[in-house]
Amino acid sequence: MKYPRIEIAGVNAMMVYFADHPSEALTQRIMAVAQLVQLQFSDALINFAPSYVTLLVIVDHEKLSPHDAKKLLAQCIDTSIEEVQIQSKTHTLPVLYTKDYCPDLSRAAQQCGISIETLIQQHTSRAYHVYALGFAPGFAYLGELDECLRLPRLETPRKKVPAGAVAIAESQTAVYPMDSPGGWHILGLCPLPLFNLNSTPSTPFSVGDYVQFEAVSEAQFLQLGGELTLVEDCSS
Amino acid sequence: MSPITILKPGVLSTIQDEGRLGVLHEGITESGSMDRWSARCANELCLNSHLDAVIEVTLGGLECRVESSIAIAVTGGFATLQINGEFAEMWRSHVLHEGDIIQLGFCQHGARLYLAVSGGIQISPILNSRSTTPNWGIGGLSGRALAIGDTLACSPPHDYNVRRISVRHRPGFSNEVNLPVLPCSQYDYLTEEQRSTFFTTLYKVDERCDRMGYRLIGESVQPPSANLYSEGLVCGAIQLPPDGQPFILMRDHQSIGGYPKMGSVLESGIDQLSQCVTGTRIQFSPQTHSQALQINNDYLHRLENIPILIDAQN
Repeated sequence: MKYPRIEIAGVNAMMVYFADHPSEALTQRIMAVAQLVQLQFSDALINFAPSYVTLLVIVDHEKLSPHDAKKLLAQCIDTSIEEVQIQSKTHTLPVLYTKDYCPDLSRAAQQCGISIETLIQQHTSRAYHVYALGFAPGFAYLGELDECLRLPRLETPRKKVPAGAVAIAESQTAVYPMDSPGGWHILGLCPLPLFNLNSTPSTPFSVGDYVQFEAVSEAQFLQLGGELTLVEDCSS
Repeated sequence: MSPITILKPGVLSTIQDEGRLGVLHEGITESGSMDRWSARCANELCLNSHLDAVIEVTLGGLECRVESSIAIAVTGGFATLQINGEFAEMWRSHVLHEGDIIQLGFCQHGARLYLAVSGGIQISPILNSRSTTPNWGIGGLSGRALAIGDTLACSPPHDYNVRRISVRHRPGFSNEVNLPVLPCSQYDYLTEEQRSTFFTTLYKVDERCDRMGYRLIGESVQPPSANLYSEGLVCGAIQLPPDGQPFILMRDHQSIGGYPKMGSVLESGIDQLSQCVTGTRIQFSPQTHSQALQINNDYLHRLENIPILIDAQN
């Protein structure tokens, strides 16, 4: 199939497909186009959503006709990436890896066939790329995990995962920004608030950023304002 | 003093406006009134802007007390409205005074009622909107549904005229609804037979039908496993999960998702579906892109020109 290509995604929505598979370079490209789209569409842009290999653009057709919108989007895609400055931030997130509060930690290590110490070392060994934001407000899909940490999702998702839970599933990792249901393995807790409605933007993460996890002690965790929350066990 | 006190919140009553824009990329959904047509009518009757916030009452059961003079209007599904125990007309404005009690019965037809008040419900906007997304605790009154004892601010009546909307501009209710669909997204992945199955099946609204989405039950349309990376979602998108039972995304939908989609229900269809309850039968009719644009334009045009009948009063 030809890439990039624009497809109709709704009566006022277009989806740009950029490639078959995601990569860090592709994310940069998608964010460069997203930035141009914001600039060029201005108040005719209702919403946009970048993701792994796509960019969704929702347009107010009272301000911009479907024909003109498609033409403008094609122009944004054709603009060379060098002409757009993408600022990727790196966020360092402290994590209390704790089997006392996160019963999945020992089980995950066991399933991976490694010690808890090795698991922590592996999880903190690289900066992860933000491939997409979604599922819940401010929920960042981070990747990719080292092969040795890849586990299938939990068979039965938890009804409640506490805000701050640091989790892994398949090739991805994430921090739950707020209490929500979830089917990932919880390894630890992050003491920092990651979603704030009163700030703009409401989440520190943007697609294309990097996240580095850093192991901290319980004392440091508490000092950083963390609250020790027991993650309910769901072993069955 | 705030002019409205909630005495009974009913099943689920939330503050909504036309939704929040421009934050989907932060993972935050639009929300907003499910049946935008009825919400607009309620605002028009109170001489409000279409951007003003209303109370969306799911199924019914809301009761509130008026603490100072205001105008109100109730629209949406077919239910009873009582003011101080006397039956009162929906789809018209009423000027109420201190001590008056508003009671909404349960919908006999439809699923959602809209209560507008003069000046709109005045709360601080969050992310440029007063809409509530109760699942994520965002917007409205502390991010939650209305509860007993909540007090809400609004303005005195703009005037004392009685305004009405005639029956022909109100939503119709039927056990069988036909929704216009724009085939798009992963529609090309479906076989000719699957497309024909989808458009000839009379689906039924499942018990799982809420502000996030409506699940339908009927002939299954199982998409080929496409191994789709999660992509941005629009309100109205028709997802095909692995069980092949269509799931239509509504105002509180997730921002991205990985299920294949075979099309999108048009804006007018979202409003219609919002008034459907469990068991309502749904059929879809495919539209070309230009037909879909025309239907949508016409709908938006009608939405901006809802005729109001005015009886001048002393």
